[in-house]
Amino acid sequence: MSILKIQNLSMSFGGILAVDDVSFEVRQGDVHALIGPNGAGKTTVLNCISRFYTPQSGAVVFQPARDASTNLLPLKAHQIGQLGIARTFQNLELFAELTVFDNVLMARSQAMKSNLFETLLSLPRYRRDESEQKHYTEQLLETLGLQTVAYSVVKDLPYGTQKMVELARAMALEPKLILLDEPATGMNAKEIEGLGSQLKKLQSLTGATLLLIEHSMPLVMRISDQITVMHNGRFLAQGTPAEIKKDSAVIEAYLGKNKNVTHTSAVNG
Amino acid sequence: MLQMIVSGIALGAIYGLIALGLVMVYKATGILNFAHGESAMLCAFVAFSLHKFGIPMWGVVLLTLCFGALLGLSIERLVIRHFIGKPLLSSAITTLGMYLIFGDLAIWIWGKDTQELPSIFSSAPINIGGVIVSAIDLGIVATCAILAALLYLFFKFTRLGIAMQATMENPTAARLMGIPIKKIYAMAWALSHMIAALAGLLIAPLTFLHFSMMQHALHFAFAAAVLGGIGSMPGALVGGVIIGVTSNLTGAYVSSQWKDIVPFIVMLCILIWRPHGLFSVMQIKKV
Amino acid sequence: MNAQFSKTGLALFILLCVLLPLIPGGYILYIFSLILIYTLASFGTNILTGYTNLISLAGAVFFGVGAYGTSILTLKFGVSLVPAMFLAAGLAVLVGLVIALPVLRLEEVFLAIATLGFVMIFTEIAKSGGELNGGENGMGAPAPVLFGLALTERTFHLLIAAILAFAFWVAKNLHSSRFGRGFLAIKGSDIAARSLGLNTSSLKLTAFAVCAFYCGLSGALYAPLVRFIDPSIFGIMVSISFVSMVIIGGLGSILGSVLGAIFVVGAPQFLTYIGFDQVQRSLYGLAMILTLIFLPNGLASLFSHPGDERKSS
Repeated sequence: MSILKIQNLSMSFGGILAVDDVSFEVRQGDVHALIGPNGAGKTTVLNCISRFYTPQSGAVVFQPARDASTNLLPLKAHQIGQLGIARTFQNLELFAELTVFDNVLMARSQAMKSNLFETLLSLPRYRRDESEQKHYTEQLLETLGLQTVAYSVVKDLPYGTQKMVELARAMALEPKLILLDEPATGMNAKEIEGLGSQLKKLQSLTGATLLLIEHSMPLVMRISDQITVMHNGRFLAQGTPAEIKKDSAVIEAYLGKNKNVTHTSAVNG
Repeated sequence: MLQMIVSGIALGAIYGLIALGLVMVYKATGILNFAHGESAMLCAFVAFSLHKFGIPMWGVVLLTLCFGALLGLSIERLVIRHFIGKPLLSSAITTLGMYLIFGDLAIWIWGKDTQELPSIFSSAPINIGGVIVSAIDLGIVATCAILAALLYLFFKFTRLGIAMQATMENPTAARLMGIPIKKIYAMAWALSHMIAALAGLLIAPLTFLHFSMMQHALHFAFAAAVLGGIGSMPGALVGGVIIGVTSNLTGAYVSSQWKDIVPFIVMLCILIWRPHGLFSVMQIKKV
Repeated sequence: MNAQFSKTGLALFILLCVLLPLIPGGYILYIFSLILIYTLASFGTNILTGYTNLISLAGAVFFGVGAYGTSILTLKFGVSLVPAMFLAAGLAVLVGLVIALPVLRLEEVFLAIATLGFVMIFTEIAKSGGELNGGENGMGAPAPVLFGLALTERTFHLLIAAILAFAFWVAKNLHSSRFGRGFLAIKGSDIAARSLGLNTSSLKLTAFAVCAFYCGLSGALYAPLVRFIDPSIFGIMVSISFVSMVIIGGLGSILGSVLGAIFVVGAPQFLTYIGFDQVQRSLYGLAMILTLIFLPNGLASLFSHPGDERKSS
């Protein structure tokens, strides 16, 4: 069953058509990669799903269960998170001045049932919410091996750990779908291998579907169940890693440029 | 009624000048300058001192405009540069602090008494088609119109003007294209303060010189900037005129108390229905 | 805000109350009461500006609505003082919502400008109140009473302290909640906050409403203290002094709120004492700028040690 259906999505920025009539589907439970050269429109697609951008036309249908289907485009950005879609960011959007614990705890706000009045007067439901969600956060951090840095301020931590924290925060949302924007940025080959295992573990822990934008071909080929290729804002191809590797259009537009050393690559914005 | 409108346009044009300066520095450097009115006030007082010194009016105007530019440059260099790119709160607090300091500085140097500054234009009334309007008002409107035209030419045809516009639209791209954005920041502040100096010179004969003379005008200038669209310089000027006229007409036909409130009600309505103002285009923030 | 700050802040606070019998009556006690009232406003301003980093100059509006509301309710409508104070604070919240609703979804800069506009509007409204509030000439404010018994200046001071203590407790609950953390999230990364499902508009509104209540209550306590209020209470300087307290004392810190209040109330007194009272405005301005450049976490950071940032909430 498709958990996410992108349908005829088009988005332009002041005259530049960044996404041009793109359609594809993401199957529930997959690790689905979205690849393409710089400027292909991948992040724009992700931002449309997250509702930070409003596309000019198209639909994005989220269907986490057979009888629960929602078009995401009329919704506001914060409602996306409430539906169970989490995301990470290319340039990390952590709460830099807060601790790891507080960053992850922030994701548990939704699970708290007490209202403002109960909070201000410290009524039992508020107190229960606090202790339950703090307990949850402690457990999650332990599972992910972050308990040693739990009370460190995030901006003082090494980059790799920060990425892990952002992932932990996304997981704490108990999402059904996680959107990852270039999770391997800034990592060396060995770290990327570790990331691959982490993502697989993430999936088995949460049962979530992963949709990731990635430039690291080794990672994409290794962990993806399906790959969608975009080029110049348009849909180019979709298939399993094996199929994509052999697709001639893809090779010409994308993979070919990488393999051919003497080929000068155009500068894409 | 025509006289009300003309004097409303004149006063509004001055609010528009201050608003234009506000929008200029906001667009170029992302700073909300609460002290802009006080800067204009200081320039007007400097003009007063120069005039008292015996310098002829044209010299006073020239020197005051230079002072304005220098004031803007110094503020940018010494204070503002530290805050560009930082969250809005820190720079806003800084300009708020300058607003306070400039106010007391004026009292310290020139005292609390009201002073007079003669207008650049003669105060003779002019007869246009049977209606009497003051030459001062016409002079103000003419000056602002000329300034608007000059600015238009500057931004459209000169290298510096185009570079400044580019920096305002997209500082990253501008930097990548080799535009020295630090110099542009300085220019924006210098130019905006020169315009503020002009505003001070034009308004002083109408409101008389007093350390609090610009406080009212600053509020109106903010309303004008929002009305025109916080990202539009010509919008700010037009917004000022609209507010000036509305305010005058309200004062004449409704009540003098509402005269001061109406601009804000207009501003609030704009914020509710069309926050990007009458002339700006809604910006999409890139994530 | 962390445990260390709270303890020091609490200690300072208890000190102010416990030493009460030793404080000479009259003017000195008045100053102490004023410091407590300003601390309450400082808490409120902190919850808005300290946590979310939103720029609001609406403090004077809330303060004035609290003061005038209390005075009008007691003197014109016969409501007894303490309920009138809380009603007036509630009225300040309503006003806050009217100001905030249209502008919170817009960029920060619009909130700053809109709040500036409301300061002007309310000043004019107060001046044209006529019979209801004495218009430009101001009105007398009620004497402090509790359950029908007149309060002396010392007992009123204790009442203020008690209300402040309650306000502190409520603020602490807010801090360690999804709301308080949400406010900090808005400051940290609005985008990340929304991606986590936080309704940032509604959170900003909440922060604004709480700030309005605290500042309104502060104004409500101010009226019986000074016994006379006029439209200048809506002046921009009141708003600026509220923001100064939070900046100079330290954003997001209980101790900072107290220190800020002491500075903002005490410094002008000191200046008058040494004969420099004309420079009060520039003192605030200079202090804010210097704090921003050299001591970004305010006076409160002088009392903290690195590594105090442990379990924050």
